[in-house]
Amino acid sequence: MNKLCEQLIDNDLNPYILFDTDGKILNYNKEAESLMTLQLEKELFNLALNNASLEYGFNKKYINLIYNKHNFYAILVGYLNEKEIILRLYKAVIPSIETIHSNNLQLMNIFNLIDISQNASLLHSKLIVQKKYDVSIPDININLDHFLYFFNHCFKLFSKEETITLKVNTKIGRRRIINKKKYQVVAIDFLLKTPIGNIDDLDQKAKKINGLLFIEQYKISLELPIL
Amino acid sequence: MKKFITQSLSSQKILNLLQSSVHLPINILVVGSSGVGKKLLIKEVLPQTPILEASTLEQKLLDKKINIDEYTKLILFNLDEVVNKQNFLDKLKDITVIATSRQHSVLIENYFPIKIDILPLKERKEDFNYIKQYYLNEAKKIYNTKDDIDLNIDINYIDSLSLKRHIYKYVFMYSLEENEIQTVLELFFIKMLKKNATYKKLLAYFEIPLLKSGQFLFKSQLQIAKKLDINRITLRKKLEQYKDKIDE
Repeated sequence: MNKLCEQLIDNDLNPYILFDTDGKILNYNKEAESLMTLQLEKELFNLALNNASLEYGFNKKYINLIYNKHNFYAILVGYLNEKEIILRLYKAVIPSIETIHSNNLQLMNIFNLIDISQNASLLHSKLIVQKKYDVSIPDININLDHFLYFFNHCFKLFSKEETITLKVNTKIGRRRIINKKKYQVVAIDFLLKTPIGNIDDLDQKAKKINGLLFIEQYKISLELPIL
Repeated sequence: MKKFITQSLSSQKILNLLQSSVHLPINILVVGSSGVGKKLLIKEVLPQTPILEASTLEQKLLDKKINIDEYTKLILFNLDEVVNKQNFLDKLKDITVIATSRQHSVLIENYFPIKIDILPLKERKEDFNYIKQYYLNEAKKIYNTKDDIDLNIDINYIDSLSLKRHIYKYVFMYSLEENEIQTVLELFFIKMLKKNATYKKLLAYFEIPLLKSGQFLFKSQLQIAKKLDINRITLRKKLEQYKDKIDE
C-alpha cells in the first residue's frame, strides 16, 4: 500500500514538495520538477509555513497562485511531526487560445514598435529601461494598435520605477498550437525590482494580440506566437 | 516661428518620436496647452499631408460636403473642439489621423495608440530662452533698434503666443522716438479728454512713469531729486501721492 501511495504521489498531476524544518527540499514528485527550475524554494516553503494548521494535520486553502506559466487555485499543507512539512499545489487549467484575433494583422518589426511605445509612454519619465533584445526575431504579424496599447499600458505601469529590464527572445523548444497549426513563440519579459501591483486589464489587452500573459511577483511575461 | 524648437531634451525626444512614428499606419495624438508648438511640430514632420480644423471637418461630414474616403492620411487640429467625438472618430476609422488636442480626454485617447505630450514652455527652459531671443531679434529688426534690451519675463506666466506679443509690445515701446511718444500721448489725451479727464489726472500719466524710472535708476530720494532737479520735499509729496501706483 505504501509503495502504491508513493507511486500515486509521484505520478500525480499536481506538484508535491516535501521540506524539512529549515526549508530544504527533501523530496518532490515529477510534476514539481518544472517548479524547481524557477528557484521558488524559499517562497514555497514560506507559503507552506504560513498556511500550515496550528496542530499536526492538514490544512487546505483556496488561493490563486501564478508561477511563470503555472497557475494554481488551491494548496494543501500537512505535517505529522516537526521535522517535515509537505505542500501540494492544485493546478488550475489555463484555457488555451484556440482561435486567433486576425483583424488588421500587419507584418511588423516588434522592436521598433516597442521602442515607439516606450518613447511615447515614458516621454517625461526618468525610468531607465535596460534592453536585452534577440534581434534575430523575425517580423511578426500583429495588430498594430492593440500591440501599442498593450505596451503603453505596461510602460505606464512601470513609469515610477527607477529601472526595469526588458528581455525579448524566442522560446526555444516552445510552440503554440493555434487552429491546429504550430507557431514559434516570442517571450517578452519585463523584470522589475519592486513587486508588481495592480495590472488592471492588461490580460485583456494581451489576448487582443494573441498573447499569453504570465505574472510573477517581479516579472510580467508576454508570450506571442510568431504568426 | 517656422520650426518646432528643439533646444530642450524633451523637445528633441518629441520630434524624434513623431518622425519615427509617422510612417506607421497608426493614429497619433499630440497633446499640449495653447502655444506649446503642436501645429509647428506636425507641419514640420508632415509638410505634405492635408490639414483641417477638426470642428470644420465635423461640420462638413454632417453636411455631407466632404468625401472622407478620398483621404488616406489627415492632420486634424483641435480635436477637443469636436462636439460628438466618438461619432466623429468612428467615421475616420479607415484613415490615419494625426491630431492635436489642448486637453486630455480618455475618449479621444482610446482612438490613438500613440500619444505625444508636449510640456508647457515654463518646463522647457532652453526652448523658452531660444524663443525669447528669436522674437527679441525679430522685433528689434522690425522696429529698427540695435540697443541691448534687458527684458525680464516670468517664465511661469507665459506661453509662446503671449511671449511673442509681450516682446513685440515691449520692443515697440522701447523704440519710440521723442516725437512718436508725443504723438502717442496726444492720441491718448484726446481719448481721455473725451471722457472728461482733468489736468491733474492726466498729469499722473507723465509723473508716475517718471518717478518709477527715477527709482529704478537712482537709489535714494536725495539722488532722484538732484538728477530731476526738483525740491526734495516736492519729490516726497509726489511719491506719497502716487504711492499705491508706484508700488504696483
